[in-house]
Amino acid sequence: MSRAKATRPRILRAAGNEATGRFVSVTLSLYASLGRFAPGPGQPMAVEVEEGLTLGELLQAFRVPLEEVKLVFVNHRATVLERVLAEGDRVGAFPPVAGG
Amino acid sequence: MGKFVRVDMSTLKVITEQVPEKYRLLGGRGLTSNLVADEVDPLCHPLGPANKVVFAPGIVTGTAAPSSGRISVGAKSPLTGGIKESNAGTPFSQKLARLGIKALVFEGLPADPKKRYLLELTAGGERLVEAGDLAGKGLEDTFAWLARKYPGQAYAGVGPAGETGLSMAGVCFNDLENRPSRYSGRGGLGAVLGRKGIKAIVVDDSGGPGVPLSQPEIFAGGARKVAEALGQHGVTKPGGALNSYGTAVLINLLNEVGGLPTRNFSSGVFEGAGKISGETLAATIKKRGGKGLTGHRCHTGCPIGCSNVYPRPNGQEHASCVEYESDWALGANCGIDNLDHIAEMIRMCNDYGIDTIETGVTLGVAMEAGLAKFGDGNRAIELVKEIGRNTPLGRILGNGAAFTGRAFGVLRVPTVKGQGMPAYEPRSVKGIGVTFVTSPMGADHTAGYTIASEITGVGGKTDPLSPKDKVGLSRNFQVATAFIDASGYCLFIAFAIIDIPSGFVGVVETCNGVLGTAWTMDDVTRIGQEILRTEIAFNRKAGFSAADDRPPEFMRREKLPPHGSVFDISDKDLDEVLNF
Repeated sequence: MSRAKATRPRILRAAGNEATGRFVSVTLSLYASLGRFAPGPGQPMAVEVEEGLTLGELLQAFRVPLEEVKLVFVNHRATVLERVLAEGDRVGAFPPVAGG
Repeated sequence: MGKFVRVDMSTLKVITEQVPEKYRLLGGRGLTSNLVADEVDPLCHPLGPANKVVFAPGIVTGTAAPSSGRISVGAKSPLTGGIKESNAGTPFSQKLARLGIKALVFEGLPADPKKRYLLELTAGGERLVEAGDLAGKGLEDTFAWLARKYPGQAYAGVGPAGETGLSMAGVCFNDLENRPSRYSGRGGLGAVLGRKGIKAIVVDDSGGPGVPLSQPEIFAGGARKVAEALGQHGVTKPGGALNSYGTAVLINLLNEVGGLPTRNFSSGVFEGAGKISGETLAATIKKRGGKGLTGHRCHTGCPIGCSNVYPRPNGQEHASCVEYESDWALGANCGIDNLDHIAEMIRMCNDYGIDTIETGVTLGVAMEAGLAKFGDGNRAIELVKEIGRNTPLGRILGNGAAFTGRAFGVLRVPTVKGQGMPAYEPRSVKGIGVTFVTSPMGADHTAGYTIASEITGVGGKTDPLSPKDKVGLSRNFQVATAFIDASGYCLFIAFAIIDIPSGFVGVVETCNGVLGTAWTMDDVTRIGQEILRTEIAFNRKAGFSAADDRPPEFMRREKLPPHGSVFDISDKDLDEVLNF
C-alpha cells in the first residue's frame, strides 16, 4: 500500500480526549459523492491523527455528514465508525453505491 | 394474446403462431430457456442447424413499468457448451413487445453460408430480405445504414465476429440514439445468430397492438411502487450513485475490499484503480464536455440512467458506454490505467460485435502468456484489432479466455464452464464466487449478484471473506434473479427493491397486471427455481456434471493479495447450491 504524498498531513485531536501528544499516520479516501469533502480530488489524503481518534471522528473532522456515509473500510475490510484508528491504517468511505 | 415468430433459415420461411398455453405466463429468460430446453438437442453443435436462437422481451417489457426494457437472448452457447441466456436493455425489446411478439425464434441454417439476411418486423408482417451489402461490415457502419434505411425503428445485429462464428461474439442492440452499444454479450450468442446468416433485425412497432394489460389497476399500483422505490433508494435515485457515476463507481469499492481482479486475477488491488474509477470517469466527461454525458439511458422509461457517453479530449464522441465490467476487464484486469485506451477497446468491441468481458479476460490470459506486457494499452488495442482482422491470432483470442489459455499453455485461466469471470475476485468475495462456479450460465455475476449483500450492504451485510452461509446467499440471489430476468426488469432495480420491500411487491403486481395472474412472493421463488431447474437439466443432458461446478484450480491453491485468501467453499457445499 503506497502512502499518498500530495496533501499536507493534518493533525486532528480526538474529541473530549486528553491531549496525549502521540499521533498515528493514516490515509483517507472519500469516494463518490463524499469526494466533495476532500480538499483535493482523487488521491488518498495522508493524515496525522491523535491516538484514540475514531474513524467517525476523522470523517467529521472533514465535515462529512455521517448520515451520508454507508460503507467504511480499514485496510480492505469493512468496519464501523467507532473503530479506533491505528498507525498505517488505510481508510475509505462511501455513500450508498452499487452497480454491476 | 401475443405470438411467436419463427424464422427457418433452411427454407427462408417466416411463420407466426399463437403462443402455446404452456408458454403463456413466461417471458424473458423464462421463455428463452424453456424454448431452448424443449426444442434444442443439448448435444447439438452450437453453430449447426439444430441450435436455435430465441429472443424474448420480459413479461412487463413494453409497458410503462420503469426500467423494464430488457430483452433476453437464448441458445446453446458455443462458449460454454451449455444453455445460455444473456439480456440487454434497449428500445428493441420494447418495440418487439409492442408488436405483440412474445418470442422470435431463428432455426436451421441457410443453404448458402455466404449469404446474409435482414429480418423486417412490422405490424403488417414479417419479411426476410437479402442483405449482402452488409456482409463483413462493422456494427458502427451497419447501424448507421439501418438508421438511414429504417428511421425511427429499433435494431439488432451481429458484427464480423458473429459472422465468423467466434465464441465471444455477442448480439448487439441499439440505444436511444441508435448506437450499436447494448449487448446480449455473453456466451457467444452472436456467433449462433451470425452463422444462421442473420446480419440484422429491424422492428417497427407503429400500428402494433401494444402490450395489453389484463388487470390495469393492479398494474398501475405496482408500477407506482416500483417507481417510488427506485426514486427513494440512494443507489438508484436521480443524482444517486448509478446516475452520477455509472456502474464504474464500483471500481474504487471493489479495490477497497481487495476484490478487484488485477493483472489476470493475480491480485485483488490495482494501484491504478483511481485513474479508471467512476469518479474519474465522471470528472473526465464533465471536463471534456462536448458529446460526453453521464446519466445516459439505454431505453425510454428508465429513471436510473446508469449509462454514459465517453468523449475524446476534443469533446467528440469516443465510446458508449464505459461501464464497470468493461472498464475493469479492459483496464484493471490488463493492468491498464488509461481511460482513453479502455474507451477505444470498448468502441472496437462494440464495432466488431464481441463481448467486452470475455475480451478483457482473454487479454489478461494473453498477457499472462507474454503476448503483451500488463499495462501496455497500445499493445492491447493491437491484440483486439487482430480479432477484428480475423487473423489466426485473432481467431484464437476471439474464441475466448479458456481457448486462448489452452492455445498458449497458460496455468491461470479464470473461467468456469469455459466462460471468463467478471469483475469480482472469488477469493475475496466468496458468495459471488459460488455464483460464478454454480450458475448454469458459466461465470456470470448477474446470475446471482451477492455483491449487493457482501460488498454494498444492500439487504443486510455479510462478510465477503467468510465462506460461511454463502451457499444459501448465492442460491437465494440466483433464484430471485431468474425471476427478475423473466420479468423484463433491469437487475439494477434489485438494489432498491431488496431494501424497500414494497418495491418488490410492485414488481410482482405489475406482472400480475399484465398476465392476469395472482402471483405472490412465493411464486417468485417457485418460478425462479423452475427456470434454474430447466437450465440445469439441459446442461446435464449436454454432458455437464458436478465436476463442472468447480472453480479454476489455481483459485483453491494461489493465495491472493491483499488478504492472502483462497477460494475455500467445499465441493460438497457447491453441490448443494442449486440442489432444490
